[in-house]
Amino acid sequence: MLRTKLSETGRPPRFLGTASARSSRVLAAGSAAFLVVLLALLGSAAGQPTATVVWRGASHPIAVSGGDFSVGDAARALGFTVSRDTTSGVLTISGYGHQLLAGPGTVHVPVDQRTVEISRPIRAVAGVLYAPMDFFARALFPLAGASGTYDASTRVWTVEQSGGAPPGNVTPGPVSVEVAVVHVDPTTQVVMRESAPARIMPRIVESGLQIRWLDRKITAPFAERRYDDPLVSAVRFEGETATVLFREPGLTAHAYPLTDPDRIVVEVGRLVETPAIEPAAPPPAAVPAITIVLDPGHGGTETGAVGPGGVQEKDVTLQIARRLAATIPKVVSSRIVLTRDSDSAISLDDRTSLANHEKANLFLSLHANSSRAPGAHGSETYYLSLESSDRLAQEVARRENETPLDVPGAVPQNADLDFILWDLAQSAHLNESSRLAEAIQTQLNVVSKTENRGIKQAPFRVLAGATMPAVLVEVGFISHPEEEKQLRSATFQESVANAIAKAVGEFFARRRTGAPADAPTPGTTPSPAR
Amino acid sequence: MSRRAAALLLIAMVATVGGLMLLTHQPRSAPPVRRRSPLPFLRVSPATVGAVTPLPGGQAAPREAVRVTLFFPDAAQGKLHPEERDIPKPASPGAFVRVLFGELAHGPTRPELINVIPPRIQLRNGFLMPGGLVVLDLAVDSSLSFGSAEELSIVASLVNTVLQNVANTERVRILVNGEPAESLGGHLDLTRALTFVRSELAP
Repeated sequence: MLRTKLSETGRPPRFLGTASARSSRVLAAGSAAFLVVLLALLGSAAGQPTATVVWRGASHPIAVSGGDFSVGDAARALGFTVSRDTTSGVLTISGYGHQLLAGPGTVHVPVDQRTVEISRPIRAVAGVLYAPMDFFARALFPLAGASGTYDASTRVWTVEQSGGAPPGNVTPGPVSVEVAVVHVDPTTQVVMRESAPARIMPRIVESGLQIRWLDRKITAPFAERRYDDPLVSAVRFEGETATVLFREPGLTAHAYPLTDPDRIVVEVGRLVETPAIEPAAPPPAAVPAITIVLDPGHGGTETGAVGPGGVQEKDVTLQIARRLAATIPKVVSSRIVLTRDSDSAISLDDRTSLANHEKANLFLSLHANSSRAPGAHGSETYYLSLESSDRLAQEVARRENETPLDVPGAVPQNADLDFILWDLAQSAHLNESSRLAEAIQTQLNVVSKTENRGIKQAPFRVLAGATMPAVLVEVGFISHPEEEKQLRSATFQESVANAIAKAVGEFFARRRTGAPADAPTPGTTPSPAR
Repeated sequence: MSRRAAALLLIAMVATVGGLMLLTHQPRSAPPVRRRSPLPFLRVSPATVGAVTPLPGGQAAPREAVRVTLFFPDAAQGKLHPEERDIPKPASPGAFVRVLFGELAHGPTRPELINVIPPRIQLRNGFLMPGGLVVLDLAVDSSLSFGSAEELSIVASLVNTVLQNVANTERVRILVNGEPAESLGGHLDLTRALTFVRSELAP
């Protein structure tokens, strides 16, 4: 038909043949070019080699670079939400109630409130983050309650719910248990820290207190360990049962679970005979005019610093606070209030709030120090610094402390200041706080013979809101092996308590006499008159 | 094959190629709209010598570098000492803060100084806010614990290093795991922005 039609135009037939040949050549060349471009584009589309993540029956391609896998691709494959910070290149991966941050160069991957170390840094290639295999196995997949295996021959990650069962129906593994025994007179606490929560059944037996785990297998830290403790002779594990062995008859104990972290606390003490009821109530004792709040630093999940031998700051501070609570009333007639008298976590502001609520005359926060500097040792006493705070705080502090408030008849020059913000509350007492710090540091140096690191100032939160003279005493360095041994010894704790109590006595003695700020301490060389 | 068929085939090829090009096209980030010229963020001076990274074979990468001052504690008492080093010139204030943190985390070169940032503290992000405020958002492992001296070293080292090097900055506010926190380890007040901490510097 075409031929006929073209023939009808009068054009020679060979023209038709020539056109067809050109068309074929053009088509062939075009097809070849098309194939080349197509292959190039397909190669470009692949960009890098890919692997596959198989999750819940579906396959998801993920980019691979240099043996590492695309973090974003894998996270999205598992159903996580992925957002990228354009300036830093950090990926925020959210899902399953967790959050993970992955950034270029990251080796310690922030996961929720902890970090997970991986074998080599996450790399950024053309704006895409690539991570080694253990990032996925140790950090990402567990967030989805899953574990993964990688087959290098097929380049397939097979990701499955841990234990092969859906979440909520996972067969629980054994609970690993760690044991710590701490004696704080008059009781001993045996703390069994668990890797996961578990139901227990405690019961008193002839030799001590027995704890049986009901719904979980346990991994015991040892079969039996003996302790040099006045009340507990040993802790023994047999199967899913632990026994806290009493050192002597006549002891009693009770156990209770705590969470965050999961642990079981066994408190061992002596039986106390109920006193006979007095026929008549004794006359009420006179309430001391002075109230002192003692604040044992840290507590509960906040262990504070931990020494190389495992001594925890929270335990040392509580022990010293209890000793100090018994010692101070012998020096100064006073009512002592502790911010905590057990292993419990209290916020910094709550500690100060308690002191303000009790209308305390002094606030003493007790701590044990630590430093990465191996040579750091000795004691130091802090009072609040506003150096690093804003100008308003510094100005208020300057005005508040221009006149010594403890001199009889002194009137604060800024009485027109109707209120003081919480953060500035301590600024009115900096002079007295420094005087108290000086007295404590002097006595610590004399009585406990610790290395004197002096009086210092720092913007410590626990001091900021105190509406009374307040100091933070670092009684020694728990990070220093020798001082760690000292800090756990009853003798040293007692000498520290005596030193601080003596300093408190001096402080109130000066207050009563209205001695000026630089009055010489009794028994020391007087300072030159200013 | 007819001309029409050939033409249709070519059109189909072109369309396919075009489609694939469109799919594989990497969109270039549009240049930022500059309403005003950005403020200089480098408080530091350009490095003089040795500012380039030597490459294998004796060549040198022609990268512009700046000299920064980092603060690390000494091994004896934990007081902070300055240490200078040259780093590639960062592209933005945020990148500069990140690089400074990375250099601190990498540790000192002088043997008498010690590392100050524990590996389990990471920088989530760093921002420069109006009024000279720097916000450092730290990822802090919940199992970390500090004494006050160590906590002071960490915070003072971070704050001083940032304020020393980043221009137009006066205060540093530290967030922990994306949120305001009372403290890093139970001592230092992080509810307020901190200025340069002189008390932790070695005399």
